[in-house]
Amino acid sequence: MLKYFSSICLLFAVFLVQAQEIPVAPVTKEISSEKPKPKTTKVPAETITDSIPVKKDRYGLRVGVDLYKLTRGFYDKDYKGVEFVGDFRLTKKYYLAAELGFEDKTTDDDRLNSTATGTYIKGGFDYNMYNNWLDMENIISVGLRAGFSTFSQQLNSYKIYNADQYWGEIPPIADGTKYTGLTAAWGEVAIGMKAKVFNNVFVGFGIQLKMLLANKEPDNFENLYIPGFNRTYDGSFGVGFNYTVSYFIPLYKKTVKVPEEEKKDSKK
Amino acid sequence: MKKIIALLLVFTFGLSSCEKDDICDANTPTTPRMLISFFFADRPTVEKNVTRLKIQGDNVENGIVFNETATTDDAKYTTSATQVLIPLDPTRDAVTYSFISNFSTANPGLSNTDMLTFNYTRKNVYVSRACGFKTIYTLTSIQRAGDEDANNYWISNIDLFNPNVELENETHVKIFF
Repeated sequence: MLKYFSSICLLFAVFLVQAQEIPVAPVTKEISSEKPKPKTTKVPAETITDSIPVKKDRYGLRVGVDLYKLTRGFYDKDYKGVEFVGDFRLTKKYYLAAELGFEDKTTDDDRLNSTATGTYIKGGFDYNMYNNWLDMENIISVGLRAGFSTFSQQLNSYKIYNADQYWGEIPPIADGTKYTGLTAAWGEVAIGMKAKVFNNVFVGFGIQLKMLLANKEPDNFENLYIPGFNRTYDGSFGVGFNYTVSYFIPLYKKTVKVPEEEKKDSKK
Repeated sequence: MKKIIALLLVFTFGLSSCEKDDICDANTPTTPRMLISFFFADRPTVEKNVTRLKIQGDNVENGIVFNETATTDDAKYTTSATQVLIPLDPTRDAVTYSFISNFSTANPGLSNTDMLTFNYTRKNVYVSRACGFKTIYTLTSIQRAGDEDANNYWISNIDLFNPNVELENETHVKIFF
């Protein structure tokens, strides 16, 4: 953080000049005489010299982990997985977002038992629909992602569907064939929310609706579970859920645009 | 923003159209049975009705059920159709069936039994999540079994018409009598 300090100072110096160019001097006096906002104490020393309390948005990188996947391994013996999430604020409303994960899941269906193991990456953007009041930084977002997974699938055992059991019932057949080098790609719509619980720590959850675009299937079998995409259905649709805890690393600040500041003033 | 909402709607409709795939649909082709058609020995293109045919597997207690609802054994285990569907054993490479013509519990002297062994190779093929796998067969040979006198055969000829037993809508074996 110290590394960026000088550059941030420089950045602020630029804003300082801009702020003073705005001809709102009479309004300023009014504000300062009424009640000095506590927020002004928080902003760095340079801005204190400026009597205008400028609203600033923080920009930076948020990194976190999916607790749902992480904790599921404790109570579900058929599952091991982890997902790291990250986003970077591009503009006021848009965030670059990505997820990186690993999953090992054994699916036990009535007639099939298989294990899928692999890693995945998802990238895209989030659009924050929530209008934050003052310096709140909560997010209710809608976003799009492109996902890609590379994995293997092992067929542990299977049953043969034989409607006519004249010759008797067939016991489950142990197989153990491992199908490697499988890949899948999908698109997803992600709806989520993140709330700042304290300091720079955010808690959030989200659901994803997925659509499978490409799926390299094994010979004489099917991808029943794709890491990152989750369970597959007859169609190409899928769903996902995550519960994240993340930490926001602030990198720089941007002044909120003038028209919005005027709006805020008129409300007072 | 509107585009995103539109996309969301598309997704929702897509999800709602998802088929239920936990139950194996009865119409899904799974492990097939072998279809045997009967023909006149002297007119090999004309289908012939069998007379009260009972088909019983070797070492199996009962015959193949042809009429589920019938109350008497005679009616339940016999057929007088021109075609029969009989199962092969997915755990072995051969099955032996007794083809008992003119079957009658009241008058056993009338019946005539021919034993046939069907040899085949098997392959397990993936169907779906709900259905699992199915076994498909390739018939390699059909031979007479048992120690019956050749003069008493009621089946005069057997033709391995289509050795690939994958579906049940096509004749695999033709029997002439």
